[in-house]
Amino acid sequence: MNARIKVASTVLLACVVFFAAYWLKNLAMTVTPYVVGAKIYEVTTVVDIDGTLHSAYVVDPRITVSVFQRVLYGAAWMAVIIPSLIAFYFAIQLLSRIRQGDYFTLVTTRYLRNLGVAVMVAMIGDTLLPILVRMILSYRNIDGMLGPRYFYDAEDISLFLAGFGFAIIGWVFHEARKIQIENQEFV
Amino acid sequence: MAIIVRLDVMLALRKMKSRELADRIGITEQNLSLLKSGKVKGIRFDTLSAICRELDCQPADLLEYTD
Repeated sequence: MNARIKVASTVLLACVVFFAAYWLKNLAMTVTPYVVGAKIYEVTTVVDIDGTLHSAYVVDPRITVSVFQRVLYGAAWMAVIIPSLIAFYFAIQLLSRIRQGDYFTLVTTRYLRNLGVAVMVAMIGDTLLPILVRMILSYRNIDGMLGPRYFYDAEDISLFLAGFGFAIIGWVFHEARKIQIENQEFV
Repeated sequence: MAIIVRLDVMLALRKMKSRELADRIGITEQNLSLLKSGKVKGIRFDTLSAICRELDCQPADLLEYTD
């Protein structure tokens, strides 16, 4: 049984490490041109005209996006990037521990809880960020700043719920382990 | 500040062996040994009650508080 768990956790660990590297590469290639290049003028938003959906540019083509706006735009993305990196860190640490046969110790249960919380925070950021980004980029638009517009992605909500589940399970296991340790020292 | 366990004294007074007491109260001899040497964090009321019953004594005969 232990050997099977070791194989499964090793495979999953390799997948997570590979995905983390792939995600970082994609992130660098996707976000950087918007922050430092001309792609920021191509950021679009969905508008509903007469019941049909159209894409519209967020940045007015007649204005220049200031460095401050670009920095703010990059900083806003950190609300998703930093928790995501933390989630990858805890996932890798957790799987490494499980691989070594360290199943339900205080450390692994804390990692599971922290992984869940990091995923939740990242998904909250990913859901709320488009509202903020739209306002940051359209701040200097000649016709005025665009107002907040909320939309949700089912994928984000699914991941948020998964993170919530991980956080609760990790928390419960952590408390259960603490009780077990305390009881072990009682006769 | 410490709680001293006087179980060994009571066992000697009642001329009872640790193994016999452990069997009667339903805990392992190892745990009883840990209790005798004071190497436990606490004792359950169930265990204390069973020891008192088998040794015919009071909790105060088994535990002593010292500064």
